Amino acid sequence: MACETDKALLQENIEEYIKDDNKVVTCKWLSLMHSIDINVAKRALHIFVHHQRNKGGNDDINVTFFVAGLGKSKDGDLMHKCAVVPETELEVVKRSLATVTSCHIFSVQKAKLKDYTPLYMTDYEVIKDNIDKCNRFSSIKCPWVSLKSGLSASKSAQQDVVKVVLSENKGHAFSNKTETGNDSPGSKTRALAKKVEPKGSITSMFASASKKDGGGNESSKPVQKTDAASKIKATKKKGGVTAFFEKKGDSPLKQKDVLLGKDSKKMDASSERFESNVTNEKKQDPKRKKKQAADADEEAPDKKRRRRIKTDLFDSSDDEDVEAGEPEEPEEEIEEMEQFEVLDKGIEEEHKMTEEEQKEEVDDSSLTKSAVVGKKRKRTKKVVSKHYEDEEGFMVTKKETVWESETDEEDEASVNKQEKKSHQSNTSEDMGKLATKNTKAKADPKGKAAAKKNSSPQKSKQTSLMSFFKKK
Amino acid sequence: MFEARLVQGSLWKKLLDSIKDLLNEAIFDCSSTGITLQAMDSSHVSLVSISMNSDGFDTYRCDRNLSMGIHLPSLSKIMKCAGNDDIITMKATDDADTVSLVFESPNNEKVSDYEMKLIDLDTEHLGIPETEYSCVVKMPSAEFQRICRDLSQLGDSVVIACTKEGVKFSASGELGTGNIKLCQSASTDKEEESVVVDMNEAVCLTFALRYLNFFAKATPLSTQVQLSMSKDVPLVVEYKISELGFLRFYLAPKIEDNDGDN
Repeated sequence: MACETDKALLQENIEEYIKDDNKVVTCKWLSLMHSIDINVAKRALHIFVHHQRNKGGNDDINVTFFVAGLGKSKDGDLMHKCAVVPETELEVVKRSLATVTSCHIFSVQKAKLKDYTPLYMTDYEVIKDNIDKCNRFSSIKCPWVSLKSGLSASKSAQQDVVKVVLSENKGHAFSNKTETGNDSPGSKTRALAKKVEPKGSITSMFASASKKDGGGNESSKPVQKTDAASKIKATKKKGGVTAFFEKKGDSPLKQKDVLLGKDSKKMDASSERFESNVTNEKKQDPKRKKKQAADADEEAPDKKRRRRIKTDLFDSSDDEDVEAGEPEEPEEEIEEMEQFEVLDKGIEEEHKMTEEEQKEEVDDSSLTKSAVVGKKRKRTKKVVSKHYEDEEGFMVTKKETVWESETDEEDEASVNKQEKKSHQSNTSEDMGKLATKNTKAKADPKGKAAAKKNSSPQKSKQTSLMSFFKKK
Repeated sequence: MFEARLVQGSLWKKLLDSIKDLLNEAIFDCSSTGITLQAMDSSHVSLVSISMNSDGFDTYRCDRNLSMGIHLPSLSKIMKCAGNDDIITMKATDDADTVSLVFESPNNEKVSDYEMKLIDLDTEHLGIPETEYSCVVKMPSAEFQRICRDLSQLGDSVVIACTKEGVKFSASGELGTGNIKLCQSASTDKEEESVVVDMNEAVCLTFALRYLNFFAKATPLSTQVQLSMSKDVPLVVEYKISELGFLRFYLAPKIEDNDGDN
């Protein structure tokens, strides 16, 4: 009895969707919306249409049908055809098929469809909402298929890419062999589609949706041509914004790869090794290893380190912004950092570092990298006025020419002081002060704007007009 | 039907030039008495209020009250197409989604017609209470512009101190400090060059020079500017638009930080 009432309720709902909300109701949409089996949804639509037609009068609903069957191609070959057709053309299409294997209502809507975009959009939206379980009500099931977890997906991602590419090649070969002489471009693609079809047409649709979505879990197929690294990124991250950032990062990365050639290959290889065998972590470049040994006491495994690095990268870039006096192009910095990311990925699960340590590493890696690329490290010569306290306790202002480079450590090592004014002998204390003042001076240029505001003797706060005038 | 014809079309040009940097979009409220505009800048620190009386126009007709949401940079662009001597007529139908602007050259040799889309804006009007200000300073607008420009080299805010003797603008920053004192000069022959301070109570207020510089863009509209100040209320910078009306800017003062050291 409950079943009957459910059905009645469903019919009412369908009527409401179509007539009141003016919606396009496809069987898939109905199934996902009401969490019912696809066949139940199809039947419900059939009953609905049947009722409406029996009412007599102008029922003002339009129905599209899904028809599948064996038909003949232009060249007379037997082929399996699937089509979504309006009611008016149903008979024509049916007649054109030798055997009709399937015929059911695809959608019901009030409006007359000019094209099939609304149907696609209806399904697209609902599939997007149920991206990870959109085929749970499908009657086509494959017991061997199971949803991969994020890690295993990333593990096998590379293999998938290879497989898909291989199968694609095979597919081409196959279609060339079998359809020699009559291989229209359409038939080729169809052959390909058949090749992939064992998973079911719904799956293929699902894949295309997830591709558009940019964040699906089962994105093994649509990303055939992206490299393994970016693929792994895509599978790991789901947030749209982060995905965007990564995409942006990809292209300079590739450029760098070209530049770096061998080294980048090495890095890729190391990241691949990591993907295939998580425990096999020992193969890193020796420099990094040393660093890790030094920091080992503070380190702990962290799986989400990539995310951490991202934020740290921004931090560190901010820090470098503070040293805005340097002519370093920000783009280059970013590129270098991304390079660092790749490098880091190889040891992804191994270590966790404090932020300072990470920053140091960023600097480190960018240094080593620039050495690899053979680029000149950028340093600027600046005249900085500094105040010292001399031995007698007087303040002395001096102008010094200072070489500034991009990293803190580097700075302290390479700051080249050419004192213009002669100065009494500096005590070791004075030297210490000098060092601290140096770092202050470095931080100065960017902070200028802020300092300007802060140094204004009128420490005041801008008030809003809203606190004086009230809304009418 | 709304139609407003202004022989001195350059006023429209000047008016828009003076507000387009402060506001991106605004509603022109047209009624039978004239055109008004009230809008705040995006940071809600300053407010622009324009009033143009219907009497100031050569012909003015407004059958029904009309609110025209206008993207000001666009209108300013169109206004730039008008010559300085052109007669500008603004037209709109009662339920139109466009406003049309007709520019006629003085000898009627050239007539340009522009139509601009209106935008849907939902802004609230603020109630500005009638205030008796402690200090009202009238001074040459060019002088005000110069002072704001000069002091903005020194700092980002100006302290306006108004006493019986005159008005003092001060700014300070990393560079140093600057003070500009203007004394009352009512004895000057030309009214527009005089500095007049009408004061009940001395005031000393701090304002952001950034906004004052925006306000000073209205200098071409009028030779005189009037600054009205009271303690802890917004400054009013008013430019008269000949017989047409006025353009007022309201600017919230900067209030001393409690944890500040002065």
